[in-house]
Amino acid sequence: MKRILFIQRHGPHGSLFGQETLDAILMGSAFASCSVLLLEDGIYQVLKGQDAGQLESRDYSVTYGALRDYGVETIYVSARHLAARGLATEDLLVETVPLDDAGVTGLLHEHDVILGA
Amino acid sequence: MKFAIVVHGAPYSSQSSLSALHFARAALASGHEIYRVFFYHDGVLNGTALAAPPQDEIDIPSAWQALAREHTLDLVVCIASSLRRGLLDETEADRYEKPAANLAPGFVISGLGQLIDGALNADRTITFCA
Amino acid sequence: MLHTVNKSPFAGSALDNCLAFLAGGDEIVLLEDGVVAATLDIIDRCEAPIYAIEADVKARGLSARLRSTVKLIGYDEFVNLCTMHNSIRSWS
Repeated sequence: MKRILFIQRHGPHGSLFGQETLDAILMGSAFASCSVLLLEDGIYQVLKGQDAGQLESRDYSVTYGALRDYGVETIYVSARHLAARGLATEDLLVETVPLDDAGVTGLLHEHDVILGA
Repeated sequence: MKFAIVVHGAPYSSQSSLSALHFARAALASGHEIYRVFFYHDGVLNGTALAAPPQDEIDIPSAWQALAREHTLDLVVCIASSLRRGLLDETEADRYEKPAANLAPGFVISGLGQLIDGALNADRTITFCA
Repeated sequence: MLHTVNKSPFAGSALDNCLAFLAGGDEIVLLEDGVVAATLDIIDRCEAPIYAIEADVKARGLSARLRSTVKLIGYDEFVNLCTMHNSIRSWS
């Protein structure tokens, strides 16, 4: 079975990439072995304390918490991009595995298909 | 070799769909198969039947249709992305009681399962980002 | 694996990410606004082979400014590069 890596590098609400990519992740996890890699502002997808009520936007960040239940294996995060934003893994809604640049490179090569904007 | 092509950009908003079109033509000309072209995010707007660009500019939705006719391509627009952005086939226009359908012939509306199916069954998946 | 970059290095992080996460044996295709990088000396320090889509370079008037390390290709060669790598990551 092929392994799919979904890369998320857009923050929430500024565009629909985040929400629509999450839909693809949910679908992917139903049919294939999937992992998620959060790069750059994609890390903000899972920042604690989001409240989109006043925006009239859907608050879908909680869905990330359910990804494990859907069969997503691991949510990885670039440690460098995390630090550049003054964040730590404790600030995130979900359990993530931080990777240094070499770790991200390795992750890219471990997967057969890479999807995501 | 079988290719799945994923298009994220709307025509005339970014170069994404034009690049994907050039790639698809070259792949077919080299004897490769295109398993599916999946239009996602704003890319679904490639499937509009109502684009009317100036006559001295390429008609991108029509160019996809022409390529699909010639090579019997599977052109799929993501249903969730399409409905949000007002791209409907007859079935969806009826379902949501909208006054018209605007999906061009040659395109089909389907779910994200088609993206995953393409990724799993094609030999290579290439994304053209917006 | 094959990496594609479709944004100018002056307009975002696509090239930075591509170069940061490059492995031995990887190759890079610059397309669309990504071909701007083909004229800059930052590209000379990259050990991976770098290709640029000729139509994109010509359309932007950048042909005479190409770094010698960059090889111009057509879409047929782009397709061929995709067949020679197991996976493709598009950086934007």
